[in-house]
Amino acid sequence: MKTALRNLHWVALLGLLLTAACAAPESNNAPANGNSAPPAEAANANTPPAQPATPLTTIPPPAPAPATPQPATVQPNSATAAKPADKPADKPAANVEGPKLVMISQEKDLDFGNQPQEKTLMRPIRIKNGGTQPLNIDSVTPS
Amino acid sequence: MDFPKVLRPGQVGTIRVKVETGKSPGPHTKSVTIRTNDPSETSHLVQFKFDVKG
Repeated sequence: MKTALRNLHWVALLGLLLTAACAAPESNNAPANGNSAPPAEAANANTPPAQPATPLTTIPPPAPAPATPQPATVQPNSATAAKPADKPADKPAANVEGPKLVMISQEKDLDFGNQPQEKTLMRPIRIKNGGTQPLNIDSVTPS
Repeated sequence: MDFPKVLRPGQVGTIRVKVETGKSPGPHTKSVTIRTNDPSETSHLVQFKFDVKG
């Protein structure tokens, strides 16, 4: 009887070992088999298709890209809006129709500095006609 | 005052201003008004500064 029990015990142990061995080979096959790498690469090959999924993520950028053109279109509008505003402002200043009195003498030229008492000062004031029509000087009067 | 009556477009002219310093010492400011046919500024005020030493 004891031997029969021992045999059963050994059989049970062998069964456990076999189940353990059967369970282990799956994990061992990968490192043990050099061929296991290719399947892994195959799996990686499958991952690249997952990367093509990333191109799907690149599709969203086109959506923001149209969004950026919109502000870009807004900026040109603002720029064009600013340019016309500047041009009209410059045009009147640049093209003066009619006569235009322009002072050439600087403020420093009009400062006579220290002068003695009871002296007559003669100073020139330089002016220019910056317009397109003759400038008539009607009068120059002290005030 | 000596000044040109007419300036052609682009022409430069000279207005000669005569100023009397007077007797009172100290800083003084005198002005001259130039009247023209400039539609944007028919009268232009020019100020002179000088300091009379007593």
